[in-house]
Amino acid sequence: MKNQSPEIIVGLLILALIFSLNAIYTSWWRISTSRFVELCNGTKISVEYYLLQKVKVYIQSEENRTIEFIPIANITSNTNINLASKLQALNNTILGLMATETILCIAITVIILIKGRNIWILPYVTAAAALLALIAVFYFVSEINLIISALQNAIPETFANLSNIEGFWGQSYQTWHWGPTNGWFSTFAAFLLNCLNTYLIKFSIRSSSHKEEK
Amino acid sequence: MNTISKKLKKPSMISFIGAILIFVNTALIAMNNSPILIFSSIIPPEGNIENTVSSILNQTSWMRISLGIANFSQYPFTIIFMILFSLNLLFTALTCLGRRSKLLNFCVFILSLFSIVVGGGFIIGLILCVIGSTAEITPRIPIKEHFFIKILRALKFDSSLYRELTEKPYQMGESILVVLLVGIVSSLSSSLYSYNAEKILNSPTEAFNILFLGHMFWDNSLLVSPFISISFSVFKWLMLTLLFYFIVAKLMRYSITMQQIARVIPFTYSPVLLQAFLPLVFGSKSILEVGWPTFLFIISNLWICLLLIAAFKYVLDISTSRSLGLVMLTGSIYWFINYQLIIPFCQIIDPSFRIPGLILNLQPLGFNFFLISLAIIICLLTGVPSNPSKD
Repeated sequence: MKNQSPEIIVGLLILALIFSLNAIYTSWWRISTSRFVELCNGTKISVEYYLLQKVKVYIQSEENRTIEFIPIANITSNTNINLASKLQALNNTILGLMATETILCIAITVIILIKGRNIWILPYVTAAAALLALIAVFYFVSEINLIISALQNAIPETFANLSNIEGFWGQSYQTWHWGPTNGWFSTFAAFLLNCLNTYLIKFSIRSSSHKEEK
Repeated sequence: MNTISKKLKKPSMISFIGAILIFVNTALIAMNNSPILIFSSIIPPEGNIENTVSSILNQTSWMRISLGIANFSQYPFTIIFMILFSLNLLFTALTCLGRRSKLLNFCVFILSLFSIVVGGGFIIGLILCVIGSTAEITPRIPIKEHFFIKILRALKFDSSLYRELTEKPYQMGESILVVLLVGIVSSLSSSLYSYNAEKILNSPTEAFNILFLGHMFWDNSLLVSPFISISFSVFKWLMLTLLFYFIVAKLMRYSITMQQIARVIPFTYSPVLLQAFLPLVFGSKSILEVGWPTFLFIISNLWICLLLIAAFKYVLDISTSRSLGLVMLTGSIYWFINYQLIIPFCQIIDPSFRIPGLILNLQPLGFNFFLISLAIIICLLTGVPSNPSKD
């Protein structure tokens, strides 16, 4: 049976979908010069890690500005083949998780729009999407050291020395700060929204079955 | 589809949209790892903090708007706020799906107030959530009778509101609430603004943090200002009511009671709530000390004057020009007593006495007399001291 007012749930599902798609296309982790260096010296260096097998290197000095996209396979030195393969495996795993999560989001939205929300399997599919997003978020945090080691080769030492970078979040006062960016936070937002959707779909199924009993 | 639209109650939908905006705003701030900062022009790099700050402070019209406070826009606050505001979203969604609970809506109200530190859902989200949740807390009252909706109605010159206020004696409680709200909001925002403006002018490092990174400094002593402001707001309300009563009821001989005037006036104070936006903008010295506070002061006070004109036009059923004359006469006497007699007198008794909020101090004194006499001439020309129906 079709049910009333699925707009709220569809709205939240679409929002979760937007965040999931955003996570695939935007960077997940970044190290960049602090705002202090940027504003006072007019120079900015930032290296951003993307899921789509690339790293964006942005270097801006007072005279010129360069933006370069380097394939992940090229940022590790030739001697460190082990690191390169690990990094690609991490990339593929997270991309796989996010793609599955996004497909689940699309599927739930389509099912809800066509069939209404009163289908018992929907909360479980939404919960699975939330779980996948959560796994992606934590798996990325646990494997961040791989990325840091790889990025040390991305910027020539004349621009920056990244040897002291440790941990997922951090900053060295007035020089560098590093941490997750759009992609990681989008995945976290998609996880939260899918959790809400799971509860809301369950709640609406329960309340509609109560009404039918009455 | 009809059943769908019937089931979606308006206030809950308003707070749901507000909650989405708050969540998206928080997610954006988390992604940026800083508040949303909009600069009026590019900051020229000068090599160090002192030179960069001083070059910006000496510009004529540089300013920045900040949605959110830097102190709360970084890890771990962003993660905590994302979780909190997803709960806010859940509560509003549940209300939309038909779960009526005062506790849920009270939580939405409190959580949306917290969102101020992360941009308040681009400000609109916070306003929508506050309006929606307070309306849901008292669902039996029609939507246009709710407190915040009444403030919005007052702001858009709703004639029916002013008539309702004069006709219903039980509205006095809400009028008092407006006086208190206006006092608290204007004093807190202006104290916060002046505290941070002082930091900008005195310390380059703190100026750098406030102007370019969106920091906001806080001191617990700022919490004292609302208490002084509330007492002063109540006093100003009483004085303006008395003046209007004397001129309207005694001089012009209209049949209106002091209680009726006392119920109408606080809602015309609503534009003072605009002063809540004061700490959003900081800028160069000229903007910081004069430009931005003066702009807000003039806009809010001009709006108050227009609301007073509209209110007395509807309440007394007089022409706009007579209402204008009445407001000019009463307003100029009120302003003179307030700013030229009472405040200077208080400062003679206690030189450290400061009234929280924005104050326009016109000098020299002769110019004030000129403005008052101009107001009196205009009011005489509009025929204010007489009542055509009684003459």
